[in-house]
Amino acid sequence: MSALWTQLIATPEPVSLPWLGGRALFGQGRTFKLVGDLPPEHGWHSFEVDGSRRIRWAGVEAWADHDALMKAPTRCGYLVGNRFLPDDAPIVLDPRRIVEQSLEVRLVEAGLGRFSRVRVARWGHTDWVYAQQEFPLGPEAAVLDAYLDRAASVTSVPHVTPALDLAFRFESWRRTDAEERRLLMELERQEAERREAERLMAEAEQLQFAEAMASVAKRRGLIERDFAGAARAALAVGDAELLDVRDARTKTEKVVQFRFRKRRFECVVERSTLRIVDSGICLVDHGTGEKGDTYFTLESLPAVIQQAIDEGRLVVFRHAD
Amino acid sequence: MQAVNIRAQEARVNVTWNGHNGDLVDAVPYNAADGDIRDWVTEALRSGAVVGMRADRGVNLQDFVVDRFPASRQVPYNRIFVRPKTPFG
Repeated sequence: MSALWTQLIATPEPVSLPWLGGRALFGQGRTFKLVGDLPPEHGWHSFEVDGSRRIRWAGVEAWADHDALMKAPTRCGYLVGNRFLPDDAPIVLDPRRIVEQSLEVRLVEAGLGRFSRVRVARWGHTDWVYAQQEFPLGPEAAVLDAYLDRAASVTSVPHVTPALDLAFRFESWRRTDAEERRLLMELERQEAERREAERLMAEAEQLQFAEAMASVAKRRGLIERDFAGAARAALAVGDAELLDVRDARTKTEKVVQFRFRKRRFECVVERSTLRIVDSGICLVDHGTGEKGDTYFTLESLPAVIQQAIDEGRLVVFRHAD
Repeated sequence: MQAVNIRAQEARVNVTWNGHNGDLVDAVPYNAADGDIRDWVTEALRSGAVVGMRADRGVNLQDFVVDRFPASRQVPYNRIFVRPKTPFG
């Protein structure tokens, strides 16, 4: 007889309880201490009770204990996400005050329709757990239509309770807020893409400029597809800065404006070689009639101008100002 | 940014000859004498060693000017320009 009694108290009793985190587990009017492994996630699980207040996870999920839920204090109302809006609570119709007017509900059933009427049960001292879906009061379908039609309010729908009205406002506000955030994120993404494209283009231009500046062959090779780029690199070799390029009257020539030693200059170059046709400054030996313009290219013209400035012999013919 | 490897005491030599422009392949000392630079460039032009320019056996740079431009923010290395003497009006 005594052996049978020992066997009885040692046999673990399976029980289905909602685990909401931690090692304190409420159920059967008691608070158990959870020993051993914790369940992998919040939910209804099967536990083994050995007769004491110690409880152990049985390693499997379980169905909700509906009878136990219905024995607990319950309330009816509407769910918005995991927030429960009770029918019997005083409600201010302001979606921004949703948290203070609602209860957090744990273990909400997946797949509930919008504006579903539900019952929740008080579990333990502080938690509310989803219990079941309730029959609608009547206006829920019309409120859902108003939501889908993006109506501004449900004043035209009869018999809407304050809780349902607040659920409608909060769902509408949440949708608008999500759309605005999505739009903002899209704008930010587009802006980031634009900045990245600009950065890559600037990098490519910078690299092309550096390569062209470092190599005559690259500069001349650039002429056909980017004359301004070739001219910019050629002038940079002599510390001059390209300002503008335009076609000359002759197809084989280009007019180039540039800045050097904080002054603007203009010259005409042979398009295919960057050789100077008209330097824009006086390079004529009046004693011999010798003209020096064609001796130079865009690379060496700034040095010539520098010499003219240094010697006080600069005479500008073409004005770029 | 820098596409060439020229040290602080060196310079890239740019030469304008007969209306064409080219660079010496190798850098030269930035403080080299003008005469030495003219000799090196003459030799390079005669042998066709100036990038972008054809060999010319008749090169004579005795009257050419040697300009020196130090490294700048825009061009991060020294440059030496060898160019024709300029007739100013």
